[in-house]
Amino acid sequence: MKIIESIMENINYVGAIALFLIGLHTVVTHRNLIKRVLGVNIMGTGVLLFFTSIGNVAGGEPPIFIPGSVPGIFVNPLPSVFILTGIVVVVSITVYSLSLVVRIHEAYGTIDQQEITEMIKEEEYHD
Amino acid sequence: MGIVNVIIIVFLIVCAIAVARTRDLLSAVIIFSAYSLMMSVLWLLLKSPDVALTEAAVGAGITTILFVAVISRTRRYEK
Amino acid sequence: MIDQLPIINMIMFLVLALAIPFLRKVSFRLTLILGFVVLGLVTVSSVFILTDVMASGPILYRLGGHERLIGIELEVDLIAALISLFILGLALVIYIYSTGDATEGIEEREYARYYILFFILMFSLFGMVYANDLFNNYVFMEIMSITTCSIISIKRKKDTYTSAFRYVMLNEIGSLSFLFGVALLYMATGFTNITLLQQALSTLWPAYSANVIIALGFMLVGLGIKAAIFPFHIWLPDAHASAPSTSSAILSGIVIKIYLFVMIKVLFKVFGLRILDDLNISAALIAIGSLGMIFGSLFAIAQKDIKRLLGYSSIAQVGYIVLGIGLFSELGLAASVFHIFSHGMMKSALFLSVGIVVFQTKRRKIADFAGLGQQLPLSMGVFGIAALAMIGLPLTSGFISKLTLGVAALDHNQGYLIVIVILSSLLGVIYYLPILVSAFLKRIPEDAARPHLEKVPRPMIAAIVILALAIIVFGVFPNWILDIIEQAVATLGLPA
Repeated sequence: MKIIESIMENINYVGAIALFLIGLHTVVTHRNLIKRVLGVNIMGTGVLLFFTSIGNVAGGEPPIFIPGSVPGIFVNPLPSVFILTGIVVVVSITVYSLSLVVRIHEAYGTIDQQEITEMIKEEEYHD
Repeated sequence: MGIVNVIIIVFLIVCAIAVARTRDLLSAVIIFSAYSLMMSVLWLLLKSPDVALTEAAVGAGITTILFVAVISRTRRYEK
Repeated sequence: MIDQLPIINMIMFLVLALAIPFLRKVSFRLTLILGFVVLGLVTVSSVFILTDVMASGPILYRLGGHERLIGIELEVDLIAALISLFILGLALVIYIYSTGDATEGIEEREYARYYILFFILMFSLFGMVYANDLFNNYVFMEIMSITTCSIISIKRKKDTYTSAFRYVMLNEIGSLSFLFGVALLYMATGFTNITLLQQALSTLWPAYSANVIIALGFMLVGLGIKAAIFPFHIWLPDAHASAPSTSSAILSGIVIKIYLFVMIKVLFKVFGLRILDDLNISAALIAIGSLGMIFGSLFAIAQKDIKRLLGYSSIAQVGYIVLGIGLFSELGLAASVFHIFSHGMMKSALFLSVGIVVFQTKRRKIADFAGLGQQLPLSMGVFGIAALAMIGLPLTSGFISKLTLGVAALDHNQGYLIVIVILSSLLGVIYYLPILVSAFLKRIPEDAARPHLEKVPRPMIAAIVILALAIIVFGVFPNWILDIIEQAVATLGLPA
């Protein structure tokens, strides 16, 4: 029971690591290029979730200061800043790799890694 | 907060696995969009409203549109 | 004033990159001249930075004057100042080369885009060298992965797209692993600033050992993928082979080296010797480096395409650098840094001279090099000098780096490593020498169909000649640069 309790307590960390691993598995093993890009996105959100969980404080409030009010305990705002940067970065990588996917489809007529590899091998054989 | 948090995490993991397993790329992208939306709810729970806003706009919005656009120009079903 | 020079350097590159789309409409020639002026100005300011750092210690600059805990901090210590000058030197040569003919395979309307990417890449390189904050390092890494992949895929050919896609995916795995490591360190200490992290980790290490170990693992794997250290090298040969020659030179000469420099920074400035010794990282790095040296060379022997061969040889050379880092001694690290310089020059010379050969003959199979020595004496001559330097012939910079590495291994009581260094050099002989022999000594019959030769623009020739001279100068007078490197390495607090 103790294990389950500690998992429940640290559920965000556990979830973040699980998402990271699922994403990694998708990137490494899938043949379809679009699936791989999706995998990178999942990996990215996993890491970013980990960052937020670090900044979270039990019973904290969002770090927004309202003039005139008595400030309570704020959660750490620094990780949010990291995550905002991280989200933008992951999106830009996604855009770039999707544009490559479109180009690959134009060139080879498929977005399946294995078929592409076979086509390249065949071309080399004919050279 | 505890139990809601756990439910969201389980939902996220199920979504992620579903994205990896689905053969239909369009459904995978729709599931991914739901995943992003749930992620933004989780960030709201973790008291980072600014991140939640960005994730809802960027992750669930722009990324999905991009994926759908690319799928419409390439192929919908995975082999 | 002098402490603002680092950020001014970076801003100059960024402004130029953003201005190129507008300048192009006025005159493309103006853009090229302006790029040259900016590179020159940054070189002058980097020399100023180097002399100032040598005289009065590291330069610290805080953006916006925020304090360390929340602000962005740039720190230029001696080793960073040296590396930035190395980047500039190589970048200048490659820039001169690329103005002669914007590299094979790039369409004319893409030239301006190529230079935009080039200067954004320079910006991110300088950012990575200067940044004293792990999260900033991550951000610059991502800028760099997009720009490096783009300068590969700018060539409109089928195979560039697939190799760029593979590169971007692996790069992303690498940078996200690095970010995960940063997150774990942030969890343990609450800092991402390198100086603060080092102080905190030295006291927190026993209490947070799990975090530290996992973080170190993630960061080393992430940087290993990006620097093409042996088991993670699979992206490199494809990327190098399909990219335009100037891009290959940038990739192999500069980009990989900067990740190795970040690795030095992470190992010795963040974690520190005590943690590394407790975990016995030294043995792991030495093993990985030696494996890379042997296997990289073995793979290279089997290649038929000259640029793939050069790519695999890069993997072997990265092995030397990792081995030097893994010795954890001042001399070993000095050998590594010297090899970063000399390999940067040698590999750029090789790629650029091969670029000229491909430009002139439109062929790139190793078998097509037979008899080329008489037809193209200058570019094949430079190729020959660089190839002999790679093997480690005396009077070239390659010999000095191997010699220093061997001495460092002996100092460390690990003389058997010399055997591996020599073995790897011998393997180098096996794949470089046949090319040279067939190029210079093989007589081709008079009536054989000779390839039609295109005329080479002067800047391309000038660039490779400069590189060949630099290789020899570094080989004949290595002491002045080795002295500065040893002085720089001494600041990291390694055992002598």
